[in-house]
Amino acid sequence: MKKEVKTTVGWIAVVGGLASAAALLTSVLNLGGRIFPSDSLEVGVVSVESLGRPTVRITLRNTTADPMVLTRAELTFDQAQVTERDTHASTELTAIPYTWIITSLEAEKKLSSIPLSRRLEGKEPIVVDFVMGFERPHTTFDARATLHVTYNDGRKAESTPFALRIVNDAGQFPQFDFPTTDSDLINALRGSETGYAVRQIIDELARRQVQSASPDVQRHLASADPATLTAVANYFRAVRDPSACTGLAKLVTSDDAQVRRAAMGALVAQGDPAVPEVERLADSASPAVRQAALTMLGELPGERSVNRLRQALDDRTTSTSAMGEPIVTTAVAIRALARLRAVSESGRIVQKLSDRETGVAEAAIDAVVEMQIREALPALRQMASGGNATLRDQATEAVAALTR
Amino acid sequence: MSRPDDPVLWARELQRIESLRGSYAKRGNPDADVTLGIAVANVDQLRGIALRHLKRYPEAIAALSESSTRLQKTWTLAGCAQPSPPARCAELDDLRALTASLEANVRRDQNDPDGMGRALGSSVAFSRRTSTYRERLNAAVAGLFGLQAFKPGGALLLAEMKAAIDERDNPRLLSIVAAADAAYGRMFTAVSWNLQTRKMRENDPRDFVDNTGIGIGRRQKYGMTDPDEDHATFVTVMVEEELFIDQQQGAPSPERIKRGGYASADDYLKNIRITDYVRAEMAAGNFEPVVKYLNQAWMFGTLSSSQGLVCLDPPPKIRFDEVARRLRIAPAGTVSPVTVEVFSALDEASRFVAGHCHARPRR
Repeated sequence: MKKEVKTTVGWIAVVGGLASAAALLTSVLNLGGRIFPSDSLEVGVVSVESLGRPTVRITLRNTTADPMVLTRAELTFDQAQVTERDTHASTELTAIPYTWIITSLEAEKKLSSIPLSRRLEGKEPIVVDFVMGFERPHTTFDARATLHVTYNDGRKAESTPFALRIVNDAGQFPQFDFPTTDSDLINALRGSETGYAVRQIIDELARRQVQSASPDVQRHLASADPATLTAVANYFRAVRDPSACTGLAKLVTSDDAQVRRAAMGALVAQGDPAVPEVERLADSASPAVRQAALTMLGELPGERSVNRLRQALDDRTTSTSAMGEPIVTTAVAIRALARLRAVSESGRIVQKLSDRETGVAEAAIDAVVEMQIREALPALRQMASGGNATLRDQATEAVAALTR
Repeated sequence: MSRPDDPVLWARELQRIESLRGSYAKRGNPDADVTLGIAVANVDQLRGIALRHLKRYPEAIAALSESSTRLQKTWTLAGCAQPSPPARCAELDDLRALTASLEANVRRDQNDPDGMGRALGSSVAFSRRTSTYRERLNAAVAGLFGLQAFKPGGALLLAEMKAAIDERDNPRLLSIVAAADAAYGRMFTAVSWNLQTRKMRENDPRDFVDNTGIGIGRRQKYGMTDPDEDHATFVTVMVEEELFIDQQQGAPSPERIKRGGYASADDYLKNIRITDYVRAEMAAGNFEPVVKYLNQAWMFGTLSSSQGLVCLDPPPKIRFDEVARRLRIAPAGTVSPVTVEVFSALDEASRFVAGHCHARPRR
């Protein structure tokens, strides 16, 4: 949608709707390899309010007859100050829209930027509104800002300094002003570099289950930010795409607990197409990764999973649990087989009740209860009167559960 | 010192200190002279400080250990073990506490939170009879929490409580319990937030609740706006469950249901069943909600600055051993170490309280 707007500097300009500003700027243009000899771009900035939020209205005019390409907008801050708001409590939570978020780190570095991809025809003036947001809740961000626009092959034009103030009151949180259409939302992802915005857009793509965003979301598998990687993995819990399995499998080896957990959930959500990747992980040299893979196989029903888990029943390697105790791979395989209700393995699971490792015997007790294997009762009764206090209590409960 | 990081200056300072130490050795026998004993211990403290700044950590520990041993001997020589010790013993207690806290600094530089915890524990213990006790206790706990060493921080508090109970020191016990109440409150915050920056550690809405009810499935919840709101909202849901589910005291108001964004009373009630919720999250491998839950369920009334330690009756609906068992079988690397650390600290504290039910100093 295009409309004419009378700006404060008196130009008649053609702009996209406010909510689609980012999408407009990030639309991919076919530049056709042309050379742009001009270097004359006029930049005007006016601070206005839109949707009740501080908005930077950029007025740009190509003063030459030749077209030019805008590639980046940067705000540099002078006298940037972040102050905590006095009131922290609110009765409700309100999403405050933004199209350009300034992060805490950017405030510290006094520089915030976004990529642009916009062609300006000769003599063409445009106006673009950026609704500004600041990442940190209940703070006020105050700065004297200067806008720098990079165009053509690195030439720069800048505005005169202007005052910028962004207030996040109690209960308000900045939320990307999501475009209505999925394609605009995907374009917004392509045009976002800030982790905060990227995560929110990926979350929204997941909520909408936008399958076509998968290649763009997968590009963020290379991110170093655990929160972004988690958002990517969570997207693939909602969207199935076999091409993502290899990238997701790599995340299972992440050092970050949340990423690892989310990646496991995402691979399981992919279903059968994930099995080959999970099997590869099950062959990892690391017992921790192997065990994660076996846990996932327990959520991926099928003969292949059961076969691989059966092999793992004899794997006596150990990883370290969150509590610092050893986890024997055999125990992980038993629990996974129980989740698959692998009745073909009942006999072997019952045998594991007498395993010398308490963790393995515990897993076997849980499994026979979960699978309702009544043939285990004699062994359980024996354990219920045995010398291992942990197993005794658990076996007693198991006998009760199986005879109820 | 104008340039505290300058190794050349510290090397020169170390030379001066060693020369001073040599001169003290000629003055007499520190084993028989309290003043000389203190002077030698002071010099060894300074030596430890200089060596620490030169990053010669094992030597720094050795120097501080010598200072500590010297102070112990001088303390005995001065008659500080007596029930009514001389006035000078307060100075000696302070010096011993200081030496131990200097050792803690070295341990911190060595990235050894357990060693730091032990040294800070000694520092606090030495200061029990001094005016700096509370200050040292709070600083020690804050220092350990700053390294996310919640278990050693909690252990230090428990050791101090035990000592106060054993020594029948009621006012000290109550002041430790007050410090512990604040410390375990900070542990709640640490589950989802960085204590220093107050930034969220994991941006996972499932770990938080909304301003009315849990807000199951919502991407943004009110508890995510701020550590204080995280705590306030969590406690509110626990109270709501207690009132409307456990005690069935009336029904929630339609206005509250509407304000919370719930479609019906049933939807709202589902969103205040916090015990079921945290258990389900735990089963799915997400332990942050259950650790927050246990923190609050256990802390409600357990640490009383007027009564000391109070046993819960009934105990929390989710048992510590149930969570510990789940943690033991969670796939490796899928639970945040901070969450485990906070859980372990809470688990130890709950065992301690159970072992000292209604503990007040015996009279």
